[in-house]
Amino acid sequence: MNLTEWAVVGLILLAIAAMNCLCLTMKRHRHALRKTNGSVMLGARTLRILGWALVILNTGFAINLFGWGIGPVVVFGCLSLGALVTLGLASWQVRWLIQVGGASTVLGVIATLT
Amino acid sequence: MSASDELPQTKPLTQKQGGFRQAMTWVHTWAGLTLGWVLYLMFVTGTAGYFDTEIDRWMQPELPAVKTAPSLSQTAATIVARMTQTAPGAERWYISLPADRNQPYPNVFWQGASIEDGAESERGRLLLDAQTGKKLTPRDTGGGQTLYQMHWRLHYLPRSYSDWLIGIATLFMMVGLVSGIIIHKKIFVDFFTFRLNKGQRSWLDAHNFLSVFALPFHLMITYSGLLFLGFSLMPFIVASQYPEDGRRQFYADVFDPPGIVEPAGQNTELTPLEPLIERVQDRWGQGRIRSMDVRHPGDANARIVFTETIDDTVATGGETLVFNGASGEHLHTEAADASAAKQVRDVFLGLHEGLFAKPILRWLYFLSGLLGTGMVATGLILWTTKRRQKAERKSGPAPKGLRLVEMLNAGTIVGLPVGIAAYFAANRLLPIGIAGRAGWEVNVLFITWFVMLIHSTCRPRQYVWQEQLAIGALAYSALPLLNALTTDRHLAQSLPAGDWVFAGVDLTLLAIGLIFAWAARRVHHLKTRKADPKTTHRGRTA
Repeated sequence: MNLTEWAVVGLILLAIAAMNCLCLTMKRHRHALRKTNGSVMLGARTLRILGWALVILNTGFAINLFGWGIGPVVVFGCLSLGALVTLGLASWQVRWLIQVGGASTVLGVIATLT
Repeated sequence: MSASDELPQTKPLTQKQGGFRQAMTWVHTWAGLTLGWVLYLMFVTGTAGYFDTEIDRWMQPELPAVKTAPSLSQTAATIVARMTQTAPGAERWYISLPADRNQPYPNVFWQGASIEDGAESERGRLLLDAQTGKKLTPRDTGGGQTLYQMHWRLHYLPRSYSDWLIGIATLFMMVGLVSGIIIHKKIFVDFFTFRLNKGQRSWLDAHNFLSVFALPFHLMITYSGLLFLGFSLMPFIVASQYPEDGRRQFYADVFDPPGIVEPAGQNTELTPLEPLIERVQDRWGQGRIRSMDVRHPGDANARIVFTETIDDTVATGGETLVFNGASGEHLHTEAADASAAKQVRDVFLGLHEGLFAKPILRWLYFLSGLLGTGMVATGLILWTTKRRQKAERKSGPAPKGLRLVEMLNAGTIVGLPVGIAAYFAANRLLPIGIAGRAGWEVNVLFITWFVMLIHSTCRPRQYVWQEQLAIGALAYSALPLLNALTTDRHLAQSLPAGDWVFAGVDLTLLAIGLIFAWAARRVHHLKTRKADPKTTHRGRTA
């Protein structure tokens, strides 16, 4: 794998993080999380801002790396996968949303920047 | 209009909206169902088509591993030397060079060769080894290309029928998408919602998330799909500007490179290629020549057309350079974006085909295709779950239409993938060298699919899905094993050797097998749960 391929991995991680944040803004999932004795430290508003910021960051990185032609294709592809992973977590392992979200933000930024 | 003006109208407005939404629901239901199985075939084969070249290579295991050619000009020179022997006096040698993933081996297509001058045949195709220039003779197979062609050509049908069928199915898809967006009331609220084990509710949730998560992809793929068929669906565009039989002329004007002339009838040696290739590579970069189209080689009016590789752009068209084949003079440069209209078309077609996509992005394309496949499948299933519930409440047999759709659903949603597994198996098992081998591979696909459809009509309803899914699981998990028995490029060899094309295809087949196995187990589980009155309030047998 060359460097640009690693960058796509980073973008996928960022998309997962973004989708996790947006998912946790929803009442249904916050409620489900509370039932498992987990909790989110951040409020819904903060998470929403964070989620959208990550989407914008993802788009910015992608267009910077791949230009206006291929960049948006990468963004949509990553967001689809991110949403799918998030839905899987929310349906089966809701507690992991936080851990996976946090870890992918950090790893995503590192992978994309390097 | 201010908010207070709107208030008194609230009630009639919602009623009206309800009526509109209901109408759209009707449109969505029937547009989706009518050609749903054709759309399913298009999604399955189109999704597989994102790995067409990889499947091609898996289906011709005797071909050597792809290595980078020593140099492009050397490869080109070897091919031209060979073609001078094989196809002299030809109208055209179309030489595809191994520039990127889409063309792993150099190959030549020729037509109009002169048998009198010693040509092997008037037209033909050759696959060559990039290293040695030797002819490669792999088994006769439809490969990934035939599978991908089914996506827009179907099979057994002449183009005049298939174009229209595919066109109307695509239009229905577009109608389905737009009406789907309108009737999906809680598109944001329910974004991450998947309620498990809730019967019809779960199917609806699945249908929703499969559609919404890849909505940009679905819209792009459907819209660009229509653009592909634009000249067929809207023949008047061409007819208004060209005479009645001018279609060929129209395509030549739009797509042919400039400056192609009739042969002069005078023999002239073809200009040496190395200097030309050096010049072209100076302009585009090393190894970035996708094809070399030699028109009338050996004639005084010979032309050589170079086309640039397109792996770094979305659009399907690259730059084209035309040289005089006798003198080597540079005649024309046609930019990739020669006209704005063609550029828009090229971008949409390019987005649709995703030829530019590097491995990970290609997987994302594949995933989006799978989501689309799931969207069509869950849509078809939803149609039956709703009506089945209603039918169970009434006494008497279920309506015939419902039974028909249920049979077609099981026999297609699982039957078609099983047919494709049979296609892969036929590639390994049919004797090499029998006449029409490639055609028989496809016949096996359709026969198997037909058998699966028969199975779904013969077996009692409660066993159909479970059995079909189990067959699917067996078929797909057996394929890597079959590959190991019939070739030496199996997982134990391909994984350590880093042969990712073979390992990738084998592992993907195995993964599909596991998914089928999981689904079969789940259907079985749900059935026993439904049958056990203790765990469900209704206690109805499935």
